[in-house]
Amino acid sequence: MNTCSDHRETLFLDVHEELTPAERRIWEKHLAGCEDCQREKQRLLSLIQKAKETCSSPALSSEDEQFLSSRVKRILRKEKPDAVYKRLGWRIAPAFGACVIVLFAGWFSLNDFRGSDKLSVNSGKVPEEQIIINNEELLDNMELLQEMESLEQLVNLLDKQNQKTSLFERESDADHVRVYV
Amino acid sequence: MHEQDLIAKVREQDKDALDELFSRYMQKAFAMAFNLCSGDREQARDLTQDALLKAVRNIEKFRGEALFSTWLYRIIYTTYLDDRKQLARWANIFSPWRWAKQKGEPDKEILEEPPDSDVKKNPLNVLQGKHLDSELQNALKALPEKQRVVFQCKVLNDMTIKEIATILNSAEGTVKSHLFRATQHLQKTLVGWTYAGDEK
Repeated sequence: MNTCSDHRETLFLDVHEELTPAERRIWEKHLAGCEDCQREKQRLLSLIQKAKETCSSPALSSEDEQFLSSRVKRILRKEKPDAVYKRLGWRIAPAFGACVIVLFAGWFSLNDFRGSDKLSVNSGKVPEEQIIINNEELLDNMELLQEMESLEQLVNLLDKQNQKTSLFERESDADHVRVYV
Repeated sequence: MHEQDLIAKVREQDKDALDELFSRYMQKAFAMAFNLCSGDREQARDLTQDALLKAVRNIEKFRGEALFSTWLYRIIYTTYLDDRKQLARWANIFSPWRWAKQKGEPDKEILEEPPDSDVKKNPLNVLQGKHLDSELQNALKALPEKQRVVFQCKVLNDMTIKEIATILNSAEGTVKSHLFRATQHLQKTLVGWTYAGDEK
């Protein structure tokens, strides 16, 4: 290979069309006066041309193109929900966590509120409501009251009988005294 | 439609935009895959499909700093490297069987295509016959991986050195060096053919 060794890299860049305008100007000056470089350039250009002709890829037929396109789209369609989940998973997770915390907090506070409501049934009621509640309590305790009344009557009756017997005893005692006297 | 507008529509999951994207870039993607797979059509089709799938799945990551084609070529190249790694792993696993097979059977390729020294010596035969094509193919296959990819990207896919550097994630100087060495190697290997024109 009889090319000028200093310009070898420039020659390769030239055949691959990668020289800057400034580099090209200098190179073309040299090329105009160097037959070896001109010949070498022609050889390399024909080698590259031959490589393009020999190894260039065949075009994809329209059926193949259609087939590939539909296959890719079908795969994408199948995996869409999963892909969306994967894409949004990390973004949804904190929001979901926050929602769960808020729900739990809400549920517990509601329970607390109900508990305190049970403890203070009568507090904060309107007087009329209070009366109704009292009456309901009275009705509930009616039987007990009736029993208490009957017990009271019984006690009174027993008391009266006791009084009568003591009077009789006293009278009989007086008779005894009279007899002894 | 401008490339950026097309990408924006694909991001919005516009079906027509996806069709347009495929029709614009599928041939280019296949050409690159075909060269990477050293002319294996089926393998190239699978590689194209995998790369297109990856590109659409990751379309959100495309920032528009480079051309979409460059970004797609990079995906094709990385997918190709991943596939090769996977194949190499399988080959390692089954290497005892492979070695046993190779010991038992003679290498068919060598028997079927005996080296024709006369063809190399006589450039006229090379020029006239079909041997040059296979010589060129073999010379390309004999190149180190990076040099072959750089040469194929430059000569067969008409890419610029800057573009190749982006695809291979290398410096432009490195790409230039690979291209220089690959061209030099081909020139030396096909020396008979390249000088045939002078003899005429």
